[in-house]
Amino acid sequence: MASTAVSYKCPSCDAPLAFTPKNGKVTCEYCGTEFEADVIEQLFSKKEEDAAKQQAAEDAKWERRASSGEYSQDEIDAMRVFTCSSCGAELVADDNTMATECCYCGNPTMLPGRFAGDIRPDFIIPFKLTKKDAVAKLKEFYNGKDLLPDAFTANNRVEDIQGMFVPFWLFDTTANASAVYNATSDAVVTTSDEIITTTSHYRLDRSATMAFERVPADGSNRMQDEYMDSIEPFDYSEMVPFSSQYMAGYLADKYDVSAESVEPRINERIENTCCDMLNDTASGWDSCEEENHFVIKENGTISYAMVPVWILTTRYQDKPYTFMMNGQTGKMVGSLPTDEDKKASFFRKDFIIGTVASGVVAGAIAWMIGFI
Amino acid sequence: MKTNKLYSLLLAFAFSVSALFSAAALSPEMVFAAQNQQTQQKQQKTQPKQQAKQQSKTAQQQTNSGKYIIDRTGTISRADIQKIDAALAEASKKGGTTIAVTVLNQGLNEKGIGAYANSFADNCAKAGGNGAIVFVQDVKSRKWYIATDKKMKPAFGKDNKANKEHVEYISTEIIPNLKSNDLVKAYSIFGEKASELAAFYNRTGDAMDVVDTTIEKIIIAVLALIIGYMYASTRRSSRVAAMSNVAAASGASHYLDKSSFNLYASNDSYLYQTVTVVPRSKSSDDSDGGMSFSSSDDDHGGGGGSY
Repeated sequence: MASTAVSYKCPSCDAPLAFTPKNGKVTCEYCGTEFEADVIEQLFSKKEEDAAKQQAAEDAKWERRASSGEYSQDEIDAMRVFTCSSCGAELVADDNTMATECCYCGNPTMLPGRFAGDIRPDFIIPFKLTKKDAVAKLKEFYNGKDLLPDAFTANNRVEDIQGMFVPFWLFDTTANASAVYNATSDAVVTTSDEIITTTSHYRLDRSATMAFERVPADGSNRMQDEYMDSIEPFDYSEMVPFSSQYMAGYLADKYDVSAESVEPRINERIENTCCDMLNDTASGWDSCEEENHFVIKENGTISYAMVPVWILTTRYQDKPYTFMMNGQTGKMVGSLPTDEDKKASFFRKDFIIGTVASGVVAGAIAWMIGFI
Repeated sequence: MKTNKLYSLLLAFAFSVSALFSAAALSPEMVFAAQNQQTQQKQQKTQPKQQAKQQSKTAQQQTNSGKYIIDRTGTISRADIQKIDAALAEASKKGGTTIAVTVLNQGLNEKGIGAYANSFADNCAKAGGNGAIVFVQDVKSRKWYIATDKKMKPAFGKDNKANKEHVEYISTEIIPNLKSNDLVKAYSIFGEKASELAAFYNRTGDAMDVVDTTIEKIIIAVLALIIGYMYASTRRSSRVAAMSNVAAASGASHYLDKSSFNLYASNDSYLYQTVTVVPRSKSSDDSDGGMSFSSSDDDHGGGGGSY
């Protein structure tokens, strides 16, 4: 039976290949042979074509099975069965999975049918940090968290670590922004009897253009927007044209949130930054309030990229805690549990320190100015 | 006649050297008499034609002075002098120190009235033998001064701040009565307050605590509690916030090409002007009895003001 998935296997020893962030090459973990990315790309392109054809054929079979009434159309649309090219096992993945690993033999597996057509990414940011780095960063993340329960760190074991490429939409645009402000300038004259304040009122008009490059928004429903916003920013200087070889050894999703759907988020972010930039040009007044603003985006283009994210899952008191790390910069984000006893204890200590310190200072000041 | 002139010249010389600041008398009455004599001699030299009239006036002034009050204005009635004198005598007895008053009509400035009062206090102390607290009022310059001699200086506290508090403790209720020219009441109050301070000091060796700061201390304690609560709340909030760094992005500044920023329009248009006038709050001056100046030194306490 022809395989519906392509495993990146070493041409020399047939062992699984994986992309190595350290040297940017595809490496065989067993015989140590290293391959350039484009060599592997060419080597496996034919295999991917064959696998895609086979997948198309199997999809047709799925259609027939659906017509028998055993599965609903939604279920069939959502789930896909692939054959592992290494051990022959059948793999089930949802419709968005582009790369995964075989749950039986652990072989990194591409699902090439998902790369077809307009969903092929334009760019990819390769993983720069390893799984080991992610674990170290998580421990570092725990540092300095006063309210972290002791049991969380003492008994904590990371249950699962997955490197995953997350689909992102990148928006380029030139914004033409205008804003109107009402500003005042005060001149104060003090006489022996009165304080005379002369307030001059002005209308400020500001207009500027500014370019935004690759403002990101994730295109995955699986990933929470807040988490994905929090792992920003990305260093686009290390972004390269998309090549599936960088995905070897990692999970990958294709987008299931369209670019149009994330546009409102992007528009708001760009608008806010435009306002901030214009606000900076209206400084030096005694008061300045924005009356209105307009932001017109010109020459907008959208590109599609895959960005690397390490997902770490742990469990505390039967509750899962998920942390995500930018696989390029190492920025770790997540929410930690809070020890309520520690919170109360710290509050009491701070209250005593604050009261005593402020009492001493206030008493000294009061004594110096003759209040007491 | 020649002997009389020589005697008058010597007297005038002696008192012009001491002038207002070092009167040599050993009692309020002697200070008063000597200073009156000096004035009298000057008048004899410069205005012989008015001599009789002046002597008559001086004689009247002398009769209006009591043991503890000297009225050099001649405007206080004999009855009032007696009331004041009695009150000050009682105060001196209760306080265990000499408590006396002089009323002038000389237009002394701040420095002058301070020095005069210090000298007056020294002389009263010498006469009484157990320190003195005195009040000098100049009706011409409308200034007043409370002075102590060296012995009573500690009764007004150890530092300038305490000295000021004690002067204000005595003067606050007196000044409104000076303004209304109710001198009997003014100096009766002076006697009560001064004797209170003197008696406390003679009994304990410490200055009386004249400022009740209970409310101020409560205010500071409440303030400290509020600040402590706010500090603890702020720290708690920051600790809780540190437990999560997940937040939606609000801007796109990381992705802004700052070199591309082109401010192509920047116009500031003047619209109109508004004027706000706020009356300045008058700072409290010595009109309510507060001390505005002091000639206190190592040997004297006290301070003065205007009314």
